[in-house]
Amino acid sequence: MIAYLVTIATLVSIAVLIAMALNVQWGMCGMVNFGLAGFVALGAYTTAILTLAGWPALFAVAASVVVCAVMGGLLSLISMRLSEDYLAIVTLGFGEIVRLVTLNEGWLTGGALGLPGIPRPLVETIGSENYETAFLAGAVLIVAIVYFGLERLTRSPVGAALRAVRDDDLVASSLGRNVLLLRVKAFALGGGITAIAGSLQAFQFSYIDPSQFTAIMTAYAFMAVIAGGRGSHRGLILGACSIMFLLEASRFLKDVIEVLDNAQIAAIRLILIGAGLILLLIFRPQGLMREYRLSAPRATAATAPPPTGKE
Amino acid sequence: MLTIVDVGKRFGGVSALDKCSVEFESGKITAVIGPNGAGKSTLLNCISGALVPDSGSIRLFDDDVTGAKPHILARKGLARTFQISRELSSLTLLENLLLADRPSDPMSFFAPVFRRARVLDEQAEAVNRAMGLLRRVGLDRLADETASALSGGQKKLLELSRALMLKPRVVLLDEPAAGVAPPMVKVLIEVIRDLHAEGVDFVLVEHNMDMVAALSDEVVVMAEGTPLMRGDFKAVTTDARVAEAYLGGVV
Repeated sequence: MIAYLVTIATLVSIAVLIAMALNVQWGMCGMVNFGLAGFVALGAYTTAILTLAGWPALFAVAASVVVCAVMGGLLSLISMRLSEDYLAIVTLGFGEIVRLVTLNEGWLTGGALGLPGIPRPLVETIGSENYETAFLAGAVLIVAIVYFGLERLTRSPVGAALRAVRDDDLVASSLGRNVLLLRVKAFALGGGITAIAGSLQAFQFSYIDPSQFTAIMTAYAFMAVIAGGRGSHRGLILGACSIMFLLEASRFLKDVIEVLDNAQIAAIRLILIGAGLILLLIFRPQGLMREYRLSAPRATAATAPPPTGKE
Repeated sequence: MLTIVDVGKRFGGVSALDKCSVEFESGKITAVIGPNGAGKSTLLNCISGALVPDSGSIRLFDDDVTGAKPHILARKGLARTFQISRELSSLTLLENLLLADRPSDPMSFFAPVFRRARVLDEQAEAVNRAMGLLRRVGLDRLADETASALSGGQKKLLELSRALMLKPRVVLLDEPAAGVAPPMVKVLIEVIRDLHAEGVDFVLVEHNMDMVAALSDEVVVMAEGTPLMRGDFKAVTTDARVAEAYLGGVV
């Protein structure tokens, strides 16, 4: 049971990272990304291929972050002249390209058979007995670092500028903000975060194949961000955990309700998620949490004297 | 200050600006009036970079800024408001203003993550300035509300104070009085007059003749995409050609 929970928690950490990437790109900056799973796959494959080639894990992950960030930047750059709807199509296309490449370029990616035997980092040092728990701790640590980094970004003028670009790019531009640059950077940052998620996934299973990176991965990220409240990092963690809880807890339904067979239970699990999301959107359309807003006392309390009443 | 030479802009078959040449001088509030469809807003949009003109050139101070992006113009000291208020509705009033702080300093994307203390210091400074501007238009008590909570008139005031946050040398006002209750129009007039006294120049596109009369040093009348005449308020409002342009030449 403990091993099961540890595995689930690790998977939640990966899902949270993917949702955070989406939250930066779409939640904060308004750029939809339906190719999220493709980015995760790109990150996972880059890390896997490099570690299999003998690179140390850290360098492989760093390279994979760079690859995904550059790819994200390029993708947003080429679709910059298109409106949001078209970015959806471009990213969808990107996801599909990644899937087809991983499936067909067998010399590089192992094709449908995938890449087995990805060496897991520090496995000799930690030993196999407690490795899963240590891996979870590492994953949670990474989530925490990314979370605090993103919170700092969100609570800064940069975060406000990203939200301004999302709400009305002409206004943001008229106020001196370089909209193009902000968009490209936000998309690249999201790309980098998906690479970390993909790398974790590659190390977690020490095996990857194209079927791990399907559209459902993208869908879960959207669900987490929407349920959590668009723009709120805390909210999406809650959202991702709720979704995983519904998915996993409903596994045990079959012990309670004996008339249902396994296939019916599997269907019910997805129905539960769907119903949960619909109920949430009816009763709390803004999501579980509100995105951060700067308030005057909070902003001045830190360092500056109170405003003096005269210009 | 602002020199527009032979600017043309077409939307499909409609010519909104046709060889439009006009000069806006420093130290003045210049009003642009004219009937609907005369090209006033299109002219403002071309100057501010929201639209790219099809032909002609625009100079701001001594730079050629034809077709320049809005953020470049903002950094050169040009600010604008919009005909239909474009407040950033999910941002608070304070955040709306802070966005325009230090536009010429290209925002370092990761500075908030790695050099947080410095960013917070700068922000606190900007907050003080923003609160001062909000106080000036009487919106300081609403600083922490989202802009979506404001009335139409308050949104116009917010836009004006947000434009001022840029520390602009010239502000383009696109119908600041449209949809604003008369007492609020008085407030707007006073604020604009004060700012002008402090050295900010304005180009004012407006239908509200009280406001034009109260503020303008000079009036440019536009008709069919090009300036028809210019002069002081009295001269243009008594001119026969202007009356004809407004009434479509029927009388």
